Parts: sequence; C-alpha cells; structure tokens
Amino acid sequence: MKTRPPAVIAALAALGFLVACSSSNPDSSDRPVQAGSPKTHALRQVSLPDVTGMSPSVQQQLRHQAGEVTRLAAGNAPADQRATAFGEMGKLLLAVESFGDAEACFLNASELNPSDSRWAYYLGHVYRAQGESQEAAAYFERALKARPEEVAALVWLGNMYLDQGRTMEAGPLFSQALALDATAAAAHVGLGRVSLAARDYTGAIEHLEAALMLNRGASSVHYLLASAYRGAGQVDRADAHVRQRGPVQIGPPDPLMQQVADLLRSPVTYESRGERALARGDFSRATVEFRAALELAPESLAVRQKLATALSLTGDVQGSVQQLQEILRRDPKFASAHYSLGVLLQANGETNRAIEEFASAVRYEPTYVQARLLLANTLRSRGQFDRAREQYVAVLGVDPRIAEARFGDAASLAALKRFTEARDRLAEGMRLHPDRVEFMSLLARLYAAAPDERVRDGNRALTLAMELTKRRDSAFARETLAMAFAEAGRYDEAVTAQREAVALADGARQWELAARMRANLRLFERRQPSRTPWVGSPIWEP
Amino acid sequence: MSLVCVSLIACRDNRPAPRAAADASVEWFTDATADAHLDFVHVNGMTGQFYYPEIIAPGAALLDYDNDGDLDVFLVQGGSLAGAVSTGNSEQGGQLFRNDLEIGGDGTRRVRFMNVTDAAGIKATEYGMGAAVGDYDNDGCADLYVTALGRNHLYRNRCDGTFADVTGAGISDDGWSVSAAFLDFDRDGWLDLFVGHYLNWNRSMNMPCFGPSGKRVYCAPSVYLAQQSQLFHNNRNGTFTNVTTVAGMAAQFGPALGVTTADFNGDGWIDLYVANDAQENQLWVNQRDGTFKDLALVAGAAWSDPGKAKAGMGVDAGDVDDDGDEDVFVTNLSGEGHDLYVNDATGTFEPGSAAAGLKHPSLPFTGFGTAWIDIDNDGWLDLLTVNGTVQRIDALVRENDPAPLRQRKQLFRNLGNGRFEDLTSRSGDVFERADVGRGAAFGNIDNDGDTDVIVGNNNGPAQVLLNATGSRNHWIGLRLVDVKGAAGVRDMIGARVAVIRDGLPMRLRRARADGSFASANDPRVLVGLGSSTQQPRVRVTWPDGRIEEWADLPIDRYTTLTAGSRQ
Repeated sequence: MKTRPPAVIAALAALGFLVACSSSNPDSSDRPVQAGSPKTHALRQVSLPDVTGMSPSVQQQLRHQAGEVTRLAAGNAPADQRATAFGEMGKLLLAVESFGDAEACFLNASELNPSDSRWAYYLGHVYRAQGESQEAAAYFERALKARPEEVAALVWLGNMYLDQGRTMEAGPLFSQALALDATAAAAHVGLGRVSLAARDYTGAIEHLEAALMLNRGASSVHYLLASAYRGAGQVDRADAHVRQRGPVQIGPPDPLMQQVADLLRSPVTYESRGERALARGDFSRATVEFRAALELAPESLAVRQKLATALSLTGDVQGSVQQLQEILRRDPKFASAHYSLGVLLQANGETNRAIEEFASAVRYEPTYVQARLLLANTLRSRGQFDRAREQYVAVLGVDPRIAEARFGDAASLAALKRFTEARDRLAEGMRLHPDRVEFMSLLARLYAAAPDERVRDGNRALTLAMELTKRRDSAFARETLAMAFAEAGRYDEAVTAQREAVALADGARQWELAARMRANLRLFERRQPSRTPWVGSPIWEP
Repeated sequence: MSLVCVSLIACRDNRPAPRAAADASVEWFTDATADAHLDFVHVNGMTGQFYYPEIIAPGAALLDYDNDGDLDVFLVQGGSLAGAVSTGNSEQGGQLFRNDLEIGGDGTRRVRFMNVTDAAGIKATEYGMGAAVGDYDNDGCADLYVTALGRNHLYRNRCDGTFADVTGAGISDDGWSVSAAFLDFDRDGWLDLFVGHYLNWNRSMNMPCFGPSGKRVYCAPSVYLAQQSQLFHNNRNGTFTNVTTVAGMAAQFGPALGVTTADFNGDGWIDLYVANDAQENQLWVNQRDGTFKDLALVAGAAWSDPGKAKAGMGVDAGDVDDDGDEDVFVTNLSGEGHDLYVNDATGTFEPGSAAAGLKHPSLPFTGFGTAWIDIDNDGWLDLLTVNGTVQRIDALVRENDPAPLRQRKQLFRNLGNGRFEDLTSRSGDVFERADVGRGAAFGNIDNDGDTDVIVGNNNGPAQVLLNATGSRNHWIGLRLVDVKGAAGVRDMIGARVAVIRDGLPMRLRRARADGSFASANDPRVLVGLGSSTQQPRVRVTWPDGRIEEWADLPIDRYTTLTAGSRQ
C-alpha cells in the first residue's frame, strides 16, 4: 500500500479512524496490523477513503462502522465478531465504490472467519466491479464451495466465465441455478447467451423467451432474442424484438448485494432507489424512498419533483399538487414542476390552465422537449395549429430525432390547408423515420384525397397504401387503400377495400369510425373520390 | 480463406496452426517523445467544476502536409472552459509539428519534430477535440479538419507549407464534435466529410452529478441530449453542402465519439460505423444513391452481449480474421469490456470479444484510441488501445495525482486462431506507464516499415511511440494515389488492397485515415509479410470500383500505385 499524504492522514485522524485494529499498536500506521488471534495471518491495513465531498450522513455511517472495527480490535474481541465488523465496513465501502478499501476489509473478514462465505462472495463483487473477472470468478468459486446452493453466486460466476469466453463451463452453472430456482430469469439469460455463442439458436430462443416470461420488463433480452431469431432465419420475429429492445437488464435474486444497495443513507442513494422503484412500477416504495431523500436534503427540488411524480402515480393527486406548489413557491422558474402541474391539470380537463403551465415550463427551460411536445400536441388538439407548429419546429430544433414532432407539424400544416408543405414534411418523415408507418399513412391519404389537386397523385397513393396494409393492416389502413383506389379511378376495388375497412371497424366495435367510413363507402359506390384526407386530429401511437 | 467461412469462430478450424504465444517480455515500442522533440502538453482547463468536455480530448493527426514523404503531426489543444462558452486556448491552440526525419548512411533513423504552427498559419484556438485529414480539393496536398467544442475548422493546405482557414466553405459546424472522417460516399472522386457530434453541452448547461456517496462526479452522457452528426457533400469546387437530412441521417443519431469508414457489406460502396457513448452504435450502410440506412440493429452491430448499449469511444475496422471482410472493434468503459464484432462477409456481425480473449482483459480499462495494427509485421492484425478513465480513481486522488484518471495502454497480439494474447504486462516501459490516454494516431512515422503511434493524453504530454520490432519482419508499403490536375496526386482513401502470395494467406487492407478516437492515421497501407521474401501480387479495388493488379512488387519499401496506370 502506498503512503498516504499527511493531509489525508490528518483528515482521517479527525474522523477518529482508521488504521485497522491499530489503536493497540501505535507503530502500525504504515504496515499491516496483526490480529489479536494467534491463529490468523496478518490482516491488511484498511482505511477510510477520502470522505471529502461525501454526504454527511454517509460520513457518519463510515465513521460509526470504523469506530466499531477499532473498538473490537482494541478489545481483543472474538475473531468472528471482528470479521463481521470488517465485513460490514467492507459493505459500506463497496456501496461508496471505494473498491480498494472494501477489498482489504473483506479479505480481513474472510481471514478472521473463513467459514462465512459472505465475505468471499462480496470479494467476488469487489473484483467484478473493477473488471477483474478472473479474481472475481475465483472468489465466487470459493463462495460456492461453502454454499453450493447460492443461486446468485452461480449466476455471477457463470457471467464471469462468459466474459472470459469459457462458455462450456458457464452453462452448467446456469443450469444448476435454474434447478435451484426455476424463476431465476438471469439464469435463463445466461443459458441463452451460452446457446448464442454456440450458435444453437433454438436453444437460445427457448431460454431467452423463458427469461422474458419470468420478467417482462427485462427489455435488454429483446436484443439477444433478436440475435437468436435472426440466427434461426426468422427475420420478422427478429425485427419485432429489435423494436422492443431497451436497457433493462436482469440480475439474479441477490439478497447479499441487495443489502449493499440498501445500505447507504444519502440523498443520492435514496433518490436512485426511488427511481428504480418507479421504473419497476412500485410507486409506493418510490414515495418512501423520495421522502427519505428529502428528509436529508429538503432543499432538493429535483427530489421533491420526483416525489410529486411518484405520488401522482399512486393516485395521490392532491399530495402531488402540494409538492409541486411547494417547489414553485421555492423556485417559480422550476420548469419540470410547471410541466407536471400541466399534466395533472390536463388530466383533470383543465386544458387552458395546462397550456399555461406547459408554456411556463418551456419559457424557463427552452430545451425542455417533453414539455414543448406536450404543449404542441395540446395546442393542436385545440385547433391552434399555428401556435402548435411553432412548438413542433422548436422541438425539432432541439432534438431532430423526435418523429412525433415532425408528424405533428405535418398534421398541423394539413389542418392549415398547406397541403404541399404537409406532403413534403410527411415525405421527409418517411425518409428519416422509416420504421414509423404513421408518415406513410398520412402521406398516402394526402396523395389520395387532398383538396389541393397539386398534391393528389393516385398512383403514389396506391403504392404507399398497399405497402401500408402490408406493414400494419387496420381499418384505417384499409380505408387509406380504398381512398387510393378511388383516386386512381378503380372504384370497384375501392368499394371492396372500404367494405373491408368498415367490417374491421365494426369488428373492433369502433362504431364512430365505422359510421364515418360508411359515408366514404357511399361516395365510392357513387364512383366519387374522397376529398377529406382524414377527420379530426391524427394520432401518434407511442 | 474462403468467403463461405462466416466468422472468426467458424473459420478457426481451417486456419494454420496458431502462432506461439509470446513467452518473453519484448519492448514492442519505445517512447521517443523527448528525442523527437515533440514538445506538447494538452491543457484541459480543469477547474474542479466537473465540466464534461475536460475529460474527452485530445485527438492527434498524422499527415504529410509538406509532401516530403514522412508523416507530420497535428496535436489538438484544449484550453479554458471558464467562459460562458469555451474560449479555447488563444495563446497556444492546436500545434503542427513538421517531421524532419533523418536517415543515416547505416539506415539508422531519427525522428525530429519542429513546431511549424505559426509558419503554417494555423490558428486552431477553439477548445479542440479531434482532427481528420483528407485532400478534399484534390490538389495533392493533405487538408486538415479540426473538431471542437464550438466551431469546427477546415484548413486548406495551400501546397506551400501554409494553410488557409476555409471554414465558411459550406462546412460551418458548431456544437460539440469529436471524431470526423473524410470519405467518398458517392464515388465521384471527391472526398466528402462526416462529422460525429457528441452532446448538447455548454457551461451554463453543466449539471451537477453525484456518486452514491454524495461525492461530485462527471455526469453520464445520458444527462445531456445527443447532438446531430453532420454529413457534408463535396461540391467539387472547394465548398461543401450539408446533406445530413437528404442522406437520411438527420433523425437517427447518438452521442458519437468514434467513426470509421469501410465497405462492410462488400458491395463496393463505402459505409460508416459510428460508436456512440451509452447508446446504440450505428452502421450507416450506403444505399448507393446518396442516402444511408442505419442497419446496426438488424446487423447485430448496435449493441453487444449481454444486450447492452455500451460507452463506445474508439473504433476501427479491419480484416482481423483474414476472411476478406471488415470486422469492427470498439473500445468501451471500464467494467463493460471492449467489443469485437465479427463480420460474416455480408455486413452482419456476431459478437466475438469474449471468444477472442479480448473482453476479459479489457474489462478494467476505459479505452479510447485504438487501431488494428500489425505490430510485428507477421501479417495478422493486432490491437493497441490507449486508456484512461472518466471518473477519478480514488487511489490516485489520495496520492494527490493531478491526473487521477490514468490507466496503462494495452497491447493484444493476434494469435491467428481467432484468439488474442494480452501482451500488456510483457511489453516494456511504454505499457507500464499510465496516462489519461485519449486520441491515438497510427502510422509509420520513421518510414522503417512498421506502425508507430502518436498518443494524445488528456491534460498531459503527447507521446511518440516508435515500433521497435515490426521492421524485423518483411513488409510491403503502398501509397495508393490518383493523378488529379496539374498539382500532383492525391491519396485514394477507401481503396482496398489484396496482397497475394503463392501458398500464403491473402492479406486484405484498405487505405484509410479515419478510425481510432478523434484522430487521423497514416493513409498509406502497410502489410506485414512475416519472414517471407516472396514478392507479392497486389490487387487494388479503387473507390470507384475499378480493379487493377500489379505483380512482383518490391518488398521492404514503399511503392506508389496510381489508379489507371495498369490500363
């Protein structure tokens, strides 16, 4: 271990810590300290990390546990008690990501109480977190030797082997984990990865689908499944999974690491726990965590905002509004509080007030894309198309990837009877967002039925409408096809397609849509084209 | 090797017996920075405010700006971030160093760099990030494009040792960009330009981010919006037109950090691979009509096992398994492991990092600059990565290390059997030393027939690493050019080369300057021949699709091959 600079030593001294077990040995500050028990080997010197900048509550936790270690060392406490003290210290240090110090603590704990496999297990995680997969694997192996039924250790060891390219050795570990716990989705993922590496796509599909059955929210599995289906030659299924991909990974059920995750009492950790709870849909838990964060950092408006969100999701709208109003009392320019208030007002039918709140949000934070988009959509739904367009254009100026804004802008242009511009904007949307059929759908309808004859083009309408029905068949798509046939002068086919559209709408019990479609059907039966591309505000499907 | 061999793993059984692992410590590279007088220290302007851009740069560029046959160096400078927007380093800026290579009568070589920034008229005083090199005006002289936090600058080489700042030539590009690449995507004989943009950041937007203990840390990229990358089409008259939207690239982008160009699907048209930070990487496949489609997701090159978008930074493409297609390597954040995407010859990829032995040793490292290089000229492409974390390492902070992000470089030797050997711990002093490595430019700086490296270190001195071993094997060096106008020849970036010998594996390489991280490489092609003295045949596929072949080319020297000269 390298020598610590004097300033840091002084800081640690001020904290009342720490040279491991060294209070009985004043000369030990620069070398490992001997444990009290003659049966143990030399323990590693451990120290507090640089606590500068840490939350006071975390400093307090570290200081307390360091005192415990020192107290037990000074009192020549039994080895297992000292091991536990070191281990608990190690968990804290692991939680604050001070891996070197955590390693020393767990090694000492393991040295003092070799029969407690927890310390080897945590050492595995210390090394894993630092990317040292061989060392991690060695400690997971050790932990498993003591407790072969430990599902988490089996899965983590399997993962380490996969990182090392040892797929043949990884497979049995995942299988064993599944034998012990059939609900261990992470073990299915592991087996899926093993199968993928072996190009056993059928096996991969089986395990990855099983993982998804056990954990629907594990969106990262979709990417692996896409690879498996592609390998198996099932391209459509592969594409479907690609579209569902996301960042959520599956870990094994891991009570020991959960202890570490729950250990720190800092605003940041409570906040992140709250966020995780929100993500998994546990809104009540999220409110508890955010309230705990606020207790430690009552000035944090961002945390209060998250609490308001969680409260609204639990159905406590009143509580949510109170939190948002408290934020705006403290900072009237806090954009996301305006946004959230707007959402709540809109849900309550108070659209004008909602628009005011959305407008405030973007006034105070011009790059607030979600607020601007919601403002634009709300304005469009109220028929304020020019104002809506301003917001859509601004959204695209901040983030041109947002297809919904491009779509809303095109729909607004059409509503303003600027059909040529609407057509161009939809064509651009098709080119830039080829996976979104909404652009194709509206563009086909403009070609088929725009009141502006310069825009209409029956052939193009037909080409697009046929492609549309292939990619997403629906009553709306069939009607689009019918409109295109009509514009192309192929009324018999238009009537057939429109009847199919009506039947689909009836079948889906969309009575209003079906009634409107019957009006178009009568037009086509009279061998007349439609001149109404769509009725109302086209909807973007999230 | 047959093209029916679809991947690194599948082809393994058909290979020659694997090369023996290196069993002794070898000084693969020597640090010649001081001897070469490459006197440059990057300034990141760190203030303790955890401004995001301070941990990203700098890149480096190798270019023969004076056409004297050796590679000169441009080093990107940072500066201060204290202003409302970056102010760059108005006192110093990016620096151009001329290589005054001396070759003694006995063949000994001495690289000496001379700072010629002022004489060359370069005033790159933005807060610089990276550089790209290409002869965009086809006058036979390498031009320089410098990316920045702020406005990027295009410097036109006047062919008289000086540069003109022609930034306004339809190529204005503000924001925050890091890596860029010149490529002729429409095969019209004029280099176009792709500029990868990173994040929407300025000082006023800087967010405070905290680790689990409550300590301040650098934010994750997800805290900021990604910025739209840009594609510029060369108008063939010294100006460019921004075609990002027309090309279909306007609505799909991530925080781009690394860019490389190659023909990934073997259709003869150049494609683009973009490494994004914590978002899906992109494979822009050229549609041959001026547009591109991002096929990374369906091609298996967007994410990697276990289904995670990683913090892609450096990137390079090369035929690592000698099966005739371009495989991709991407450096990532510590804990993620670097990625190898193995091409099946159609532009579809399989993850190969763990099986190749690259994932496990790279897990502790945050990698930036990287390239496929044949360090020992045995014909197999090896790997070098320069590393440095983006979060402060506690142990280094305790030591009052002024650059507590330092990590060692890594060297991986291709064993020729689908696996790599981590040579780092047996590769001498250069690989013992830890730096905050970012950019790395690869090329034959001393013209001795092996690949050397210029390393751009964040908030630290640049390094010259000279390859000490490669020239012990035989090699063939090729400069692929086209005659353009009266001024001379221009490098044919994007040309592909097959080196063919009787009874020996065919080696495929390409002329490129892009890849790595924020850096520009030697556009010449260098192919290791091992111990063979057989004079090879060389088949060149030019960027416009024409194919020409030369027989019995001399080895252990450079030969210039001119497009159309065999017709």
